[in-house]
Amino acid sequence: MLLTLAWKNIWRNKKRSLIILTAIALGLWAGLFSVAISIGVWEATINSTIDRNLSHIQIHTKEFKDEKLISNYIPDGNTIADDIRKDKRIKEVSGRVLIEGMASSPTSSSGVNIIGINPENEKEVTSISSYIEEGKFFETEKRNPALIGKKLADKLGLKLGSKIVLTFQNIDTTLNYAAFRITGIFKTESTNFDQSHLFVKNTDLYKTMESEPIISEIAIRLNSSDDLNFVYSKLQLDYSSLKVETWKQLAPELEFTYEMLILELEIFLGIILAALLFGITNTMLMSVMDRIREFGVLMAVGMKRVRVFFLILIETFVLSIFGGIVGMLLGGITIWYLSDKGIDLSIFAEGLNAYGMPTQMYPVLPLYFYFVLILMIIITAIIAAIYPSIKTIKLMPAKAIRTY
Amino acid sequence: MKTYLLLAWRNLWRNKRRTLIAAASVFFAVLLALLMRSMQEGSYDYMIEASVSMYTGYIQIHRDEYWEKRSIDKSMEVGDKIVKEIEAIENVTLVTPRLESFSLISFGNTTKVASIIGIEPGQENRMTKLKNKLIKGKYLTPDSKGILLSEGLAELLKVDIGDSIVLYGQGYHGVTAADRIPIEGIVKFTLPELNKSMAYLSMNYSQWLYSAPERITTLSVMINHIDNLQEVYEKVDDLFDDKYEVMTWSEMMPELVQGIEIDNAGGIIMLGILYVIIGFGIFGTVMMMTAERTKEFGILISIGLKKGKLAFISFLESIFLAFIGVAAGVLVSIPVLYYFHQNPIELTGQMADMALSYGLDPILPFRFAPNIFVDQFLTVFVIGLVSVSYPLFFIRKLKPVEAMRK
Repeated sequence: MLLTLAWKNIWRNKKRSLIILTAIALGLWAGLFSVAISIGVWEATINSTIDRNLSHIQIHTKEFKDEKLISNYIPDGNTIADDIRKDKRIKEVSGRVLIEGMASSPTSSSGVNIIGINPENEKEVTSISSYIEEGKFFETEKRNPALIGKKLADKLGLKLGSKIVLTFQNIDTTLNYAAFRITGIFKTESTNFDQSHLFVKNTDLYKTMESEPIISEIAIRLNSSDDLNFVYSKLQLDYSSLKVETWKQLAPELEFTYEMLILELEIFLGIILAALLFGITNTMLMSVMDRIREFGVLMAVGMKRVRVFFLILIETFVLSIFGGIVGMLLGGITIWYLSDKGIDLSIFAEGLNAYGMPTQMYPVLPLYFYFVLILMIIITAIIAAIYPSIKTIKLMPAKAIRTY
Repeated sequence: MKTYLLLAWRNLWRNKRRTLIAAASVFFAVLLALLMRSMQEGSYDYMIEASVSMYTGYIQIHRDEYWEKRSIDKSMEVGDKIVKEIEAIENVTLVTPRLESFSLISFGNTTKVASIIGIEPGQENRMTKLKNKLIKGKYLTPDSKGILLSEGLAELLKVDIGDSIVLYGQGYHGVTAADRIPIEGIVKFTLPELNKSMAYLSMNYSQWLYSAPERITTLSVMINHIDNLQEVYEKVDDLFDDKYEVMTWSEMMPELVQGIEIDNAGGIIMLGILYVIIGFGIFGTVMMMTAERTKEFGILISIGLKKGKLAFISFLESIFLAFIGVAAGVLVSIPVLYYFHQNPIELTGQMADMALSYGLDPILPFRFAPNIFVDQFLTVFVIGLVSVSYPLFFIRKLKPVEAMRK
């Protein structure tokens, strides 16, 4: 009965209720949407990191992580890579040789991560071939071709066709000097990556090192990231003597950034709800003040004080929850619609690329965020209702009835 | 004029409850907006401060082109006189020289690339607290001929105090730099990249090793507060001609600047959303209050008050109301923000561990500076003023005869 009465009371002053309902709905809609965009941008950044270099899963020897030496190569690496490739869930596997060395040009030198790859496989695993800005991705007849990051090329004063000398350790720990020629310059969204990486053909490395075809890293790209956990557990069982890691373990800073982002967003939603809380309290307080006489009459004809108290409590509650539901529905629908279609930000392409962000953006909101929000709205509603309801408790019927 | 002001002021206090409710909604708007902004800008200040004192300093001076090429050939000779002049600039706390280069370090069968930094041990320690990072052995002295290795590098090379490593690299003008150097100490950096790549020599010794007597690659300058950066930068820049490059942290760490800009853009959008909600809240309150006064307005007009004058009075009321709310908001925020500025919120659990592993303190810092108060004061005041100007439209449309019957 009180619920019906509360509902009807809310609509007695349409203008007032609509204003606060709009504020709640609009606030939640905008809040949800901007949270979804933030998370969407973060996911896009992760995806581009996976595409660029990380891939979904990587396998190394257990020692490699700490020592990063060429002698930490994976025993029978190529056989393992071929075996893994047979799995239907896997798109492609790239066996890489990783060496830390020095790159020297006539004018300068710098530490560099040398990555020896099989261009055909690598092309399918990461998108590095699409980041080539000048020159080509190993489609060349030249001897010892090398791909170099734009930033590193600038630092060393290198151009397309320049010669570069790489110094690194052989497996037998003697130092090796090898001359390579720049046949391509790549530029990714990450300057850090660009200034420290250099790609060469694995076969060229084997020749200069006079070594067997060894690999120190197996990078795996899945057809769908949904299979990540399954494939990961399977590989971990199959190759227990090796270290199998997903991108999450490979780049823990991404996880940290995500956690920080979520904390920031929760604080933001909290602040929005706090702002709404004051709006709701004000509206209800105003409504109570306007109706003092009415409450006086209600009490005089026998309505219990507690019931009046609950009436206001329920009114506030219904108002907040109703606005909350509308806002969440609006937000949910917008996000659902755009998460499929994406938001085209190509008019801002220049600015976004400078920040290492893609131009197509898909807002995403994890399901648990909705639950967190519902909880927050309920808490807000309760707090907002307290003060106006208490006001009614203190009313004296005889006095209230004479108030205009 | 005085009468109108008095009338508006008295109208405001005729119904205290109504005025206080409306002022409260402006008040909370200011408080929330300030909290949000202070937290955001505080975290940027903190990130910058932490990053510059980890290594770069706020300002660096190099020979022209050094930053692009990073070659020891682009090193420079800087006299004591000019260092003294920089130190004399107001707000400069410290100037320290460095001779930086990349070289190979070998021990036994292992070879690693490291960044080798020649330092003045005393000044370097004052800037980056290098001595506190020492976990084994001794810190460098100006004359030591030993090397400080970062912990990760020492582990990779499987070396300890007392061992001697072989350093091999390119010196000034292509001269080979090679020597056998005893390890004096091991320092631990929280940041993994630094921990795996840094090695320090004393300035004198590194100048000899790299055949670059009296030469340095970098002068790093620390200042007392980021707000003074621009001023110090201009003064430092005046001291050097265009054969040198004077760079601020933002030029040296563009990634950090970009990260902050992206985050800040997001923050401003969120602030905008907050403003909209706040605007609605205030507007709703004002609308109610105006509706309550319909009868009063009707009577005033019918006994002869011009609509324009009534509107003017209610406009004055609006200004008072918005001002009271905003001023109270700022006054209350000052101690609140100051408290959080002095006692930042501490992170706990996994987040705290992660922050620590990146060399950051696990805290959410707040900024306490005049600019955020002024910005929010003005913005919310304008929003408040727009919302509380509703009575102007209301009065213009008012029909006195109908209004009186309400």
